[in-house]
Amino acid sequence: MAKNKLTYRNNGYWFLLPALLVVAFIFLNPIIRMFLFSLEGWKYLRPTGFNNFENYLALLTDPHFYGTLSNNVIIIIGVVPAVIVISLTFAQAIFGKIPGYSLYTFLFFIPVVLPDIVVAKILTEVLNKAGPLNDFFNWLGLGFLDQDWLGAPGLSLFTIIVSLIWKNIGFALLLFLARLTTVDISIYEAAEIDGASATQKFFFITIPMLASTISVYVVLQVIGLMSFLFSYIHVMTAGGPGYSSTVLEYFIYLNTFRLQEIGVGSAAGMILIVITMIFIYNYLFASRKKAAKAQEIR
Amino acid sequence: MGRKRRITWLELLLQIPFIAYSATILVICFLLVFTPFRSTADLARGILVSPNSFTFDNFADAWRNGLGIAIKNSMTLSLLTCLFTALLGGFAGYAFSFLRFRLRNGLYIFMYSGIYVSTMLIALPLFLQYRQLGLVNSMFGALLIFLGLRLPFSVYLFKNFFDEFSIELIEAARIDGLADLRIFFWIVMPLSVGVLSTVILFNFTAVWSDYLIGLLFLQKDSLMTIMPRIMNIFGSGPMVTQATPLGQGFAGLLVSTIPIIVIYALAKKHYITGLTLGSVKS
Amino acid sequence: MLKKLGLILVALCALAVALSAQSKNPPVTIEYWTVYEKDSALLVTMQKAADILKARDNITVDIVSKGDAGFRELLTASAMSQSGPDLVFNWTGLADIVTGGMQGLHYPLNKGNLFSKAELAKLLLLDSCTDVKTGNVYGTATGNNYIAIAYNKDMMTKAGIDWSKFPAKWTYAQFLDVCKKLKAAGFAPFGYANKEGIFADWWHSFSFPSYVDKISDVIPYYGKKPIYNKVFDKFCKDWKAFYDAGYFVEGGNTISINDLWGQFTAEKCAIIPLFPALYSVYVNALGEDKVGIMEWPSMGGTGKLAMASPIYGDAIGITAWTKHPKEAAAFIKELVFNKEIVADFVSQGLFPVNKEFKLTDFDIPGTELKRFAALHGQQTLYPEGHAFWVREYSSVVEKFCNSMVLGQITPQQYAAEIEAALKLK
Repeated sequence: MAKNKLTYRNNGYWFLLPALLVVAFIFLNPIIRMFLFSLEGWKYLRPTGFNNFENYLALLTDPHFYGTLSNNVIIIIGVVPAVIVISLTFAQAIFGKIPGYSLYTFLFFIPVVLPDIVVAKILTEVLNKAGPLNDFFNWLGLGFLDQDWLGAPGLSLFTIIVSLIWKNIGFALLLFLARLTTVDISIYEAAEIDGASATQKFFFITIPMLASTISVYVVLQVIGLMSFLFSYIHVMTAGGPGYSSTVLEYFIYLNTFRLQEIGVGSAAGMILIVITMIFIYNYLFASRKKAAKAQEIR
Repeated sequence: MGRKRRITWLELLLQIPFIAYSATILVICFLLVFTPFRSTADLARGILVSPNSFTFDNFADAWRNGLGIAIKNSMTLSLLTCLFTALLGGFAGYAFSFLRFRLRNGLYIFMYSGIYVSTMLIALPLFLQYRQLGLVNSMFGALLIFLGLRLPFSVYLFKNFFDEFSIELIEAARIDGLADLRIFFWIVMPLSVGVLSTVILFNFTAVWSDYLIGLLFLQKDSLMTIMPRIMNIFGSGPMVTQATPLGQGFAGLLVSTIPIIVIYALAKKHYITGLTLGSVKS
Repeated sequence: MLKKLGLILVALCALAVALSAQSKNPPVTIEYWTVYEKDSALLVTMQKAADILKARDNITVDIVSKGDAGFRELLTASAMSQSGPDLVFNWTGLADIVTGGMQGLHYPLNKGNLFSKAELAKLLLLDSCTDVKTGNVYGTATGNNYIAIAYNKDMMTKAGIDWSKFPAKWTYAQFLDVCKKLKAAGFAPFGYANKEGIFADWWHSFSFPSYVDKISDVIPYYGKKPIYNKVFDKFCKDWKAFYDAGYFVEGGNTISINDLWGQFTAEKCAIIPLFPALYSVYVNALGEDKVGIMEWPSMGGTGKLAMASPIYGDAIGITAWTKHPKEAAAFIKELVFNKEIVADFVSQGLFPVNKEFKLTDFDIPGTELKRFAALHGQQTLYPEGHAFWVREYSSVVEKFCNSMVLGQITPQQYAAEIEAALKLK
């Protein structure tokens, strides 16, 4: 049905062309160039020709590369479930109009909208060894918590994870709240009549209702943590100490701009792209199946 | 759920995490708002102690170090990006939603993947090309990059929004003999204020908070954007010959958040619209 | 009528002459990137040199104060695209000039008669700007900078240390003793701000030479020799012991290098590294009476360099892609050969790099600096270890020093990281 209505028109290209050209120029063309870089040997910032995938080999034999990959995985595993659990609890409570809920929604929104650099800069000051957080712990008498939060190799990644959870709660919360407001309240009322407790309502109504929203959130957050963490890490720890808080994106930065290993950096870039794309297309095809169904109905 | 109810013990218990989380946010806000107004000597006592000075010097110094110019540049770039993404993104979204042509799905997937590509990957190859084209240190060149970076997401928002449109409206207009361009400007756009606000909201924030592109592609003092400028004020490097400009840097941070807070306060509703339309790239 | 025509002719001729006179020196603008902040005394002096050049040769030098945020990134991108500023400053030391030169960042000074042989011979620290393999000189220091320490006389007195009896240079035992007394008196002995690893990079390059006999032992170029040996091990262990004893400012691992000098000026530590540009900073903050200067202390090594003193240079290099190498060279010459400019530098504590200038020819401000200058002249000097490093080396030091000092990796693993980075090429 829909097909009949959307008549075949070639002028679609004209509408699309400007945007398409710009996007192709800004994305496609550098990525192709980067792919070519990754195939070449580099000496002192100059290409020396095709080198039999040596950049990829160097990458795959570099223990730090696996370290950064596992840091990525740790960050994702550390951040995503925690944010989901916390935001779901918050969302349910705010949806249930917990006293002060409007103030809370306003406040929780703030970390989400503040630019990464602003949050990272302030947190760096707060988390300094000699900073206010440790002063606070000492004042509470919790001297054992007086740690070098960003400077100790075992702690920096943990600190980054906690700060990311802190920053991203509001985002998931808003996403879930937006979905909850579209839920038919009568379901809850019916459950209440059946004598369901708040916890039961939460687990048997809210969570299934939010399943698709949660999956949207997971995809967005994972991509965000994979590909858009540079300025945050750059300001907080600069990937250190050692490689203890370096993620793949930062590893690419270190290789291209700091160590000037253009080939290795580009190869790591290609790996990041492949990982991202696999992730996206799985998600996209799953959601397009649904969309196709929806279109048929329309 | 909207009815007045008895407050349960669970709700009381729930207040604890709410209050704790709010407290941390308030502390950060306190630091952001008050640090810039404290003198360097005062800040040397610690960043979270009660202020004993009040000064505008930090702002004056930050301005002297080019913050004002940076704000002007960032504002120009952000607004122009908003304008052009709204226009070009709207066109593309219209094409994807209302027009049928070969490769439509393929082109959409291509456009869509752009949302997720890290800026880090394109920075260096693009810089080399920009040098060849003489586009480094040009506002136009930077604008083009921001357009490219922001268009995929804008198109995605527009398409999702237009998909909810009644197609009959468009068909009726077509039967009346209206060209697509006219349908776009006269019928579709006036009904799209919501999604337009969302697009503007997200794109403004993204361009405003950018660091890497501004750093590499706008190197001249007169062209620098706000985030690189703030980083510059914070870190003059190991060879700085004056006391740490912490207050100055924080002045930059505070000023840089003001437009963001204002635009979100004005359009918070549309932020949620954007979220429900599908997604957000943080 | 004829008269009028004649007048016009004369006027035209005059105009032509004026124009041709001007076209002898067509205006050229060159760009110089530095990391010093705009109003710093060093840049004011450089601006003075630029003004001289402008008036005399019609060359405009656009001095751009970049700050270190993004400086490396910008240089990498510039070098790859072979475009950007005409002159660059390099605070990572002269080593980066050579590495940069090999990477195609710098234009050799000895090429195309930019600098004559005689002119080059006048320059101190020339070795460290020269690529050993090709003999190309990729830049020069703008000053002969001492690497010293500044100490807080008040704190020393309070800790029961008589600073008036300090020797010209501390042995390691003396240095440790002073630190111990300061610590016991409740002061943090040594400033520390190592978030980026830069401080440790310095510590490594200034201190390691005391363990060796000649500076080229500090870095065996490109992994010819293994990095790890007994001496390296001892150096790392001494360093860790110094750290573990709590002689650095606590929590320095998360403090940005930007805050280092503030630790001394806010009297949070008693001793701090001192480079020429910083003397006036310390004196302005604490008053001349409080600030003492000493040579960089000898570290735990027993090498021939143990009692010698490191020097370095703020390096300046012409970029490889510049269209105006001659004009850029003219600016460098102005900075190092013009006595008026050099006198200005000396008044800021930066000693001349031109061997023909004697320190005694200049007016050195302040009794403490004057005393130090006299002593410094008697020291055996060597260009600091940094000068012979390559960027791969220092990037590993910056990244892993913390882990080593904190005991997360052994000195052997630390050395292995350096070896891995060097062999990668």
